[in-house]
Amino acid sequence: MIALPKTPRARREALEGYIFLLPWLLGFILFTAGPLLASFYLGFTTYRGDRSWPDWIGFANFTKLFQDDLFWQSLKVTVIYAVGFLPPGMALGFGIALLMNQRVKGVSIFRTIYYLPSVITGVAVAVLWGFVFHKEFGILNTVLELFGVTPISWLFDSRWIMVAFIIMGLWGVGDGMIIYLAGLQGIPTELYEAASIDGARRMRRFWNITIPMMSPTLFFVLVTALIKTFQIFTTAYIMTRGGPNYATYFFSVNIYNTTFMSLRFGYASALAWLLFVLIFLLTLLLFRSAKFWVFYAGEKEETA
Amino acid sequence: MTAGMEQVARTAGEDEGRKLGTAETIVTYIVILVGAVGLMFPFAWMLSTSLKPLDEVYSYPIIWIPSQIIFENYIDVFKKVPFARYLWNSFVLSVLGIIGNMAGSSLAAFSFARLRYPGRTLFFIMMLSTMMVPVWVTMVPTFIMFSRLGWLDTYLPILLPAYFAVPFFTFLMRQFFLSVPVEIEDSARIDGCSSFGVFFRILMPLSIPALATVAIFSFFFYWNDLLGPLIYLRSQLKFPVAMGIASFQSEQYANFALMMAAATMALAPMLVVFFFTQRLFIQGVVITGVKG
Amino acid sequence: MSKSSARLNRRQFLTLAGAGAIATGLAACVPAAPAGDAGDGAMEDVQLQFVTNHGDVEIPFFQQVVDNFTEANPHVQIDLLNVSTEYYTKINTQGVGGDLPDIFYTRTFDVVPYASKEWTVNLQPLVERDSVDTDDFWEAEVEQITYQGDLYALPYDFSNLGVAYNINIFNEAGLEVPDGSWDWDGLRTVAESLTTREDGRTTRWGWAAHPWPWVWVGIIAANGGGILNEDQTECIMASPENVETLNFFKGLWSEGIIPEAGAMPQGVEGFSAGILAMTTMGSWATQWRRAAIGDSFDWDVTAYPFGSEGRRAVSAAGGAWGIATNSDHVEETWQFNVHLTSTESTNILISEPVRSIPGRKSSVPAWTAAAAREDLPPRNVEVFAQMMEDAYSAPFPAYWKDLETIWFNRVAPLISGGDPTLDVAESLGKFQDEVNEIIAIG
Repeated sequence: MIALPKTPRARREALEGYIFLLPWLLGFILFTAGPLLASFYLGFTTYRGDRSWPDWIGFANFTKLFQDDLFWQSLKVTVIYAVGFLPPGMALGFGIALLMNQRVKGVSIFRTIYYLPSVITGVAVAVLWGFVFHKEFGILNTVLELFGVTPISWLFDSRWIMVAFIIMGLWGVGDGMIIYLAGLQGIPTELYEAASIDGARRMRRFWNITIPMMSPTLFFVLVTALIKTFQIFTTAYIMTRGGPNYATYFFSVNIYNTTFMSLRFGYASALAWLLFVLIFLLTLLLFRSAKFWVFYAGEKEETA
Repeated sequence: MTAGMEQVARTAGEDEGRKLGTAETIVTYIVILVGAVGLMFPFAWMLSTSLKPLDEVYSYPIIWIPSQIIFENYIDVFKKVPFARYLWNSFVLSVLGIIGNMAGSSLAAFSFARLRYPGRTLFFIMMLSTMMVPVWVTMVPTFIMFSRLGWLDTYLPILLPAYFAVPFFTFLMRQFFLSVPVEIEDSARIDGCSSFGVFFRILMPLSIPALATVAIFSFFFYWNDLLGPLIYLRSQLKFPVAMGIASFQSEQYANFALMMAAATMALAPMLVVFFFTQRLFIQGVVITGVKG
Repeated sequence: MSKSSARLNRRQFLTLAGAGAIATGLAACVPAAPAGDAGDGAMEDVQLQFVTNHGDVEIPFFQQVVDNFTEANPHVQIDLLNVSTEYYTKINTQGVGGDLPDIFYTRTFDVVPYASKEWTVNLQPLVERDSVDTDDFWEAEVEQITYQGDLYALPYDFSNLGVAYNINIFNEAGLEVPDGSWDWDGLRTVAESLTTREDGRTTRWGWAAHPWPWVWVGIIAANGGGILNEDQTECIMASPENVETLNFFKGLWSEGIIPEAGAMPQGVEGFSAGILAMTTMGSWATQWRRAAIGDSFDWDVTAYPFGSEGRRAVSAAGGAWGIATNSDHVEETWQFNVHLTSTESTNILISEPVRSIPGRKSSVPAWTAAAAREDLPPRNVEVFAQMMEDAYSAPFPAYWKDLETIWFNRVAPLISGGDPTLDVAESLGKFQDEVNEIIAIG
């Protein structure tokens, strides 16, 4: 159990803690908890969006889920996407941030250009993908043809579309760049100076200083990217409607369709809470791993 | 202010940058330039499309440089939809959203990162958990709640969450607060700083890049937001700029020329804001360490 | 908990399900939203919400129709809101929330789902009371806006499809332009001879198909098949007739006569760009195509081909206006709906600006006259109205949106191409099974 603070100083700190937490706590109680509870409740009903009180059916939605091919398909493609996207996504975002942290002329302009993919959406980007993935004259097939690969219809062939989705996902890693850049500014220069005096090489300085000092930022990006990736939606919703042959029928697409196309709110809520459990467990694992690799200069006691 | 601290005008990356040799500099430039050209592609298409007559928009191969450059599309956008009003609405939403997010998230983050009290971990887990439930299943209950409160057709349902600590930003700020060495806080407390003093005088100035990140992200979120306004608003004249862009495309036709003119105008402020804000990441405003 | 005892009134339900105990406590402290002023006097001021799902082009016409109404009924104020994108996310949220706009756009696909959820008002008693002339509506559209024998919406427009063709390309090839008496084999022959290749790459395709399922209801029926059985209780997509139909269309892209999905570069519109000799053209696209083509080439439109059964069954679908059951002013909203769908307003909204086919037959002459006024192609635009005689008429079932999702995953790849390894019979079998599962859920 949680031990109550004993000393007056600790009690004062606890009080201040709750005061500073108040914005979140109030918001949670007033605006977030109600809808969350409502959707949780609906997961145990057959609610279809009509004007009658939903029928309570216990765990029936959840048992039905496991016999639902589309549930397994959407789980499968979501996990494949996450596994395929997260590692290169993290690495690329960090790499770009390191590049954009160099003292080169015009870096402000370059940073702005590298951030463009995060602010341009819709038709203009679809045009780009048309040029990258086009079967006959697309950039990707042109390059692959040099190695003797027969042209692939990237966006319309269910066997290849996941690769295209991962590439499209990587397009948006500029968002992470800005967080990494902010993190890089917090590394005390003295650390590098001391390391230079010690004659440490760049690779060693990277592994021994940059990575540990950046670990809180890396951890943040990893956790939030994980949560976001498991809820991937927009690209599939706009570009493929989950197809072809459910190859991009991601979990959130399934939830959206079940909610707003089928108007089966009960079943959609069950789906959503199952996804919640999955993401929650994975996040928990990350937090467990944090004590081995995340270094907090300001840590006072065990922090999550 | 506090003994033992000094303002270091150089940052880690710059320090690394100074040691680049000529060959490395050239390679770095080539890599950056190649990437930049690719990343400019959609922007180039947007700009080109927005400056053409409609009968050159859909042609093949793509006409990158229009036979005649016309600016009428930019004027037409304002004639066909209340675009100036949409821009203003987005501006209002963005400014209020930035203020809310910076205030709300940093207060809660300070609590999570630097103060100890019973239930802290539990609350933190609860906060993160709210990010993990897909928005689609809470949307209807949330709508009903705000509808019962009589807040439909106001900006309250859209803006209020920002003032009550958005989990993403709170988590971000917490990570940055956790990176500030304990020694700095300790010496401040010895000098008689209360928690409020530590927060306002030490942590906030030290977290300018993080706050800038929150500001940039919330600006882009509110500037581009469509879902919130779509659900909660009813009056055409209260909608933000995303609605204006979308109105040039319906289920049955799309006028890419007008759409891209509108999109380019919506993009410009974001690029300007980003261009100036990202300077905070090089100017060495960060007090980076402890001396002595 | 038995089903009957579980019925609560709407307010109770909204309170409990929506906000949860916590938020309700808060809501109770706040005065309720200014709900409709309970009007006893007929002339009490009334404010109506009117929501459409159109583009920038149509808005001035809607505003004009609104102004005409409020001029004659000064006690009514109508707030027009146009939502061009994510319309269904908004409407469905408000639908479940019991907070729909008084009058809103319902495509003919939506009428049955909304009516069956009690979101929209049964208009039949009002139609009879005010003797609205439903004979002036298209029979096929009336069928689509009817639920359990009653009208639940009034029609705005009705749309179908023809074939647009590039006259310059026909002339260059020395071919006669089509007169609309063709069947699918005929279209294929023409399309094949207009397809050109250079170095093994296609430089021009003969025709382009449309993967939307409502378009195929007609094509499939004309070939003697069907997607659903007569009373829509079963999916019969995997029939031999349908396998043959879809094999025919799969042949078109696998032999390069129509462009495979993705073959047309993004952002390029093939017909306007002159790399499609013919294309499927919706009746709504006249003005848009005129603007997109400009004077690049001469073109026209002709009728859809006959099916193997020797008949045409042209798919048709349209827009209509439903009234929300949660409206506090159903009477005034009904008056406005009648005004909105009158011949006069239909002329303003659709015929004069040459949008799609007007929802009233009496507005068609104005439409054809307006289309011919500018002396621009397509000169045979009347063919759209003529094809209404062959409109395939069946209502869209309540599960249509689900069917669409399954269609886009299982059937659209057979029409649009991408994966040549797909087997038609197997895909249609999966489609049938999955639709039947949805029907079983009810």
